[in-house]
Amino acid sequence: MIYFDNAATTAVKPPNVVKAVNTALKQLSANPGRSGHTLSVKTAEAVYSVRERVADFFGATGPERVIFTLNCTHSLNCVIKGILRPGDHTVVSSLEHNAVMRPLKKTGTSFDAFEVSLYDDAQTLTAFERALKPNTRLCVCTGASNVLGKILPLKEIGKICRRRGILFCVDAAQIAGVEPIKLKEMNIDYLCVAPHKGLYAPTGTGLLICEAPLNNTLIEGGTGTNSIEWTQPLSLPERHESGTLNVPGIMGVGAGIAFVKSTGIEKIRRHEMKIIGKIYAAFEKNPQIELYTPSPEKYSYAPVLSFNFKGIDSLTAAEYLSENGIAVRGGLHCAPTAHRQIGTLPVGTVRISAGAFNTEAEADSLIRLTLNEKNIKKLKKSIE
Amino acid sequence: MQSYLILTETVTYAIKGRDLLRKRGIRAKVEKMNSGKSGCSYAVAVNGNTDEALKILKNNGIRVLGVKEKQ
Repeated sequence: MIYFDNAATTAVKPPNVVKAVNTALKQLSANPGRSGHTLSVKTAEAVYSVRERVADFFGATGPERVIFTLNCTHSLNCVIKGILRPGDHTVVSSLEHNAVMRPLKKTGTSFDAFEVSLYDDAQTLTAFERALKPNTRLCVCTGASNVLGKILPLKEIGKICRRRGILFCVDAAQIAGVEPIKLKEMNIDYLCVAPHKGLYAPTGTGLLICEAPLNNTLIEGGTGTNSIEWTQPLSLPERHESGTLNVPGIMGVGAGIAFVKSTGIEKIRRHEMKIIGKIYAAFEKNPQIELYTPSPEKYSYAPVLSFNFKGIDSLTAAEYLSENGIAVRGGLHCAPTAHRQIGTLPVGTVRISAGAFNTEAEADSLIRLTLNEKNIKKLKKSIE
Repeated sequence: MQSYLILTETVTYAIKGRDLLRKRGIRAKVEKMNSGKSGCSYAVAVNGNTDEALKILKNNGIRVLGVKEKQ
């Protein structure tokens, strides 16, 4: 199978990640931060060392700011539900995932979306500033759209948020490991990460890095300390880490970061964008294909590309590719707002997303199969 | 030499504290203990005078909940 669904999760994991998970299962199977025996302390130390690595990678103030969660959605829920109170207003981008929109809706607070220009970041920033209100407490925005790949001008948005006293939360599901992120430089208060994507960690892992207070908890329970009290401890990260941690997954996060650092973010990004650029260039020339973004190489884009075959719905097209050995994702990608913006509701698009282990030969196979007129005609006929 | 347990809020702070002390040449290790008042907690165990260790921890934002002589 040729795997081009890396925006959902990277299916091919580097050998050092596999090794770290295996080693954890064999050698770190105690409960960290619970018992006092040697293996428990050793496991806690291994977990702490990953916190240090994560903090260093994203420029966090300290390892205690790094909270391990189940996934990026969990992290976003912690922030949105932990911060917003009646009367608060939130600003989001027009390209948000349901991981942002659904918890936001659940809070019952008001929010506005600013339209992200697919071409011009200055326009995006103007729209962002226009959406702000005196009671805007929080801005949540994706680092890059999971449908279109468009990267948002985070540094500039962060600067405006800081100036206006607005908390800034970034959904980095699509950009962590793809673009350098430095919390302080970008004025990010909360960073939500899906390490199983661009950091090549196992699924079932998530990160929340808090540079600002997050007092309200999403879940409560055992933390291994202050056990006599029925209230959560105040200090990070334990305040938001009730229950046993996913130690093998966390070790995989540490190894994934080591892989990205040793390979180099810029090198990975160049490789992935070369592949996406090649596919885009081939699709652009074909009248049977509909594209929704400008050339990703000319503007600021992550290695994600949406398209449709004219006259064929995205799920049927994705199924056709799957039957021919290529994994992509059709549908709405849990981001209906992005599809509303490009006019692809309710049919969605076919999404191709590249990873570090894709090759140009794989891109050639995908192009050949996608642009095979005979097959496409057959497919169109079958759904008539 | 008498050993002391410097109580911290969590295992994360105990490890952070231990690493900070080791970097400054102070021998330290993490131990789980029952603080009595609040149940389970973690401590950084050090030998001898705790003044310097406490100063280092405080300067690095590590809240110390108390100091006990190790039995």
